[in-house]
Amino acid sequence: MSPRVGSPAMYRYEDRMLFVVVPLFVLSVIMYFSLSHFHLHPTRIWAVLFAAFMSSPAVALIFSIGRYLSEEKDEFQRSLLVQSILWALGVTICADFFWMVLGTYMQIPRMKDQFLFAMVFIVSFWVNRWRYR
Amino acid sequence: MKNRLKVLRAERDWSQADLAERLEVSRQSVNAIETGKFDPSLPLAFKLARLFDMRIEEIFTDEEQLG
Repeated sequence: MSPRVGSPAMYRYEDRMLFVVVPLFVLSVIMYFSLSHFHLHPTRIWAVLFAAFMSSPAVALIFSIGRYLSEEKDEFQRSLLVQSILWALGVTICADFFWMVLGTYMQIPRMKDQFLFAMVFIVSFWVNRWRYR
Repeated sequence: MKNRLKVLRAERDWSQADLAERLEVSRQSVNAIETGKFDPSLPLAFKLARLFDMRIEEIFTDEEQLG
């Protein structure tokens, strides 16, 4: 009997992440830095479209997670994903708050919040999953 | 909740992956149930009971009842 590494729902979830969420995230990072590098300031409809595009990775991610939770039949994997998301959100909010309070009293470099804290979220998410390897 | 899953599995010479395949869950799930980190739902507990041809309470022990 071959060992079961991941469920079909997990494979579909990983595919969606790989082909939709990651390229969207990379594109939005490139776009964000390109605009600030060339000192471009989109106005009106372009600003709205730009903001919508910047938030699209988060929307795609939420949609992808929702689909996974409805498709996954393995109850432990479902609860592990929810637990990992909650841990990652907690750590990210704490890190964000810590940095904000620290910045009030000390001279610290300002961070590009959305990208740095996306990294904090991803790392803490995988640390929690790793506990149940 | 304590369980005898590891013993029952060993008696049949099954690996965690073998049991996971029979239950249609991941190996991680079997490991989490065996180590008591995760309590299975009733449908999964019934599935385990059917697989081992036992009653649920012969596999799982309520610690509060013991204490």
